[in-house]
Amino acid sequence: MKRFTVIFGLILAGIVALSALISLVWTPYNPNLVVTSQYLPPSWAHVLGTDKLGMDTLSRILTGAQTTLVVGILGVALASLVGVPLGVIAGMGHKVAGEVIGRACDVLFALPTLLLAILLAAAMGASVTTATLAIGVATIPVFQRMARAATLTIMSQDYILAAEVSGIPRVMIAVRHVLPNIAPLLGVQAAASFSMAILAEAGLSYLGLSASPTTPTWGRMLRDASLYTAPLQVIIPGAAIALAVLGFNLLGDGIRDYLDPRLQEVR
Amino acid sequence: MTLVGAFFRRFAVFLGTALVASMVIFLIVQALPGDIAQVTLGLGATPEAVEALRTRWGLDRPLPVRYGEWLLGMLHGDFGASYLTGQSITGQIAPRLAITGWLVALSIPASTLVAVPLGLVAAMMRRRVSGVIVNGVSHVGLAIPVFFAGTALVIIFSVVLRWLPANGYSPLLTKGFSDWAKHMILPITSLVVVQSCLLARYVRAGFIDVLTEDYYRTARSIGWTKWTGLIRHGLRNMATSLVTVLGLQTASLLVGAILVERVFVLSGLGSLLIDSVLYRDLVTVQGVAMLLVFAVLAINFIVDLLYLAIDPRLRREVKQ
Repeated sequence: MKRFTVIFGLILAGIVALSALISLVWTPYNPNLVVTSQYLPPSWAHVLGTDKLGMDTLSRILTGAQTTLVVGILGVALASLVGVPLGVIAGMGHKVAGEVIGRACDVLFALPTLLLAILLAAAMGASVTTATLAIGVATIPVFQRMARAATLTIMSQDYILAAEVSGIPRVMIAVRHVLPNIAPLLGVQAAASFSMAILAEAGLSYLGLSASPTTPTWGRMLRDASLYTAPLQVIIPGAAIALAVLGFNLLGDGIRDYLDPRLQEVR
Repeated sequence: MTLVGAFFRRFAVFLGTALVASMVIFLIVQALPGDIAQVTLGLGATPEAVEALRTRWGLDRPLPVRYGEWLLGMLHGDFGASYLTGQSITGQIAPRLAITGWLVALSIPASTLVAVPLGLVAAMMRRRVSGVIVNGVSHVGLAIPVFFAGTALVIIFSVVLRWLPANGYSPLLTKGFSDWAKHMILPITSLVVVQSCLLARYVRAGFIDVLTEDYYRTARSIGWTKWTGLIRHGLRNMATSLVTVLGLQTASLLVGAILVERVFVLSGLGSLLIDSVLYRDLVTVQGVAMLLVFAVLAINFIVDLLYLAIDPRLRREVKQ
């Protein structure tokens, strides 16, 4: 059962990644060009039909996978590159620094991602960069907390005491002993945050706070299609988002069980 | 420290954070590029006209004075006037707060009522077909964006079946209950569908945690049934994590409701915020953002107090 869900997740995530890669070099039609009449039903020429302007839906879905993955990857990268060092510093016993970092992250954690994104969009205009920044910054506290908790556990180990006694600088201890030991946990967190980032990006592009109108995104495609004349054109991007999130979620669960069997549920 | 002391300490932290947040929001809005007076009048405006407008809006006075006025006004419930329309921002907020308020106030309890029994079943039956099915459904539900759930409901119930209105809002007080309810059913349902899936997963994990505890084993060994043990010991343990998630959910829903508001063309608080951003009506952005941040901090404060109410271990810790 467990195995089945991981494989299912791997397949879904693989399809998304493959779509993004293929669309870099080839799509059935130009995703930004009106190629035929509006709202055509699926046919051999247009496998998923066409949208309200007459653009090929399959081409746009494939291209949309790019934005989804880019925002997800960069957002999680930003969150972990800032959050992990902050968490390690907070966990390695610099009391005042730890308190300040902890408080600041608490406030940030309380701030809804969407509010952050809207304020950022007010400041810098809506773009993929804005969306990535908002999602990344909002996810920093998650990584900070995780890294701090993991660091605290590592710091109570004997080999850390030995390293400290032999006069190894704290920075070296952090790099050589702490980081490698907390890496698996961070990997698990990254996988979980990734699917949340995809969901958040879909919401932002639905609101028009992400990529510009010339870049196809799943959220915007869902918003632009008419419920009344072509419900299929609403359902296709919606299903794409849901399946991508589900895929990365299941994959994340699988990675967690593989990297850290202790976290597995009681059977 | 006494419990009263703990209360005041948390209250002080809450107010302090709100004050810092107000400064940050004010400074960010001030730091935004572009002179608002110049933007409003357009590039062709004479420098004298721009200067006159700046004086009229009070933009020529020092920052601390303007910040103080803004803060003092908000404490009296006055958010100032929009630069764009000249209308009072407080007057715009009130009707929108009602819509967002209904969405939050109805969907959060409803989701909890759905999620707790589902999570309990998923935990108890986790090795049986029924538990696996509940768990699987909640996994899928978690992946569905709320605006897609809403759109799908509109397609089914408004476009195909024609049972309910596809969008719009009908105020409870002026138009009566039945119209109001018809307009609220679909938005609330779409929120409940997505949120209860998330909550049910936390409930399930909370109950499963209890199953491995020594006190649960003891309870079973003195002859309690599984269900009695889970309900009498499990509920309180699960409540702590449930309150955390509910707090975060409520906070993010205050803004997040905008996704549903957009689907059903409801003008709530989030929509006011995003429209003001798109029209660069920065005073409104500043006021609404502050209101939302304040509400979020207030929710966190209440959650902190609830921990103390639920968890006797925490109370003992505070007293020592």
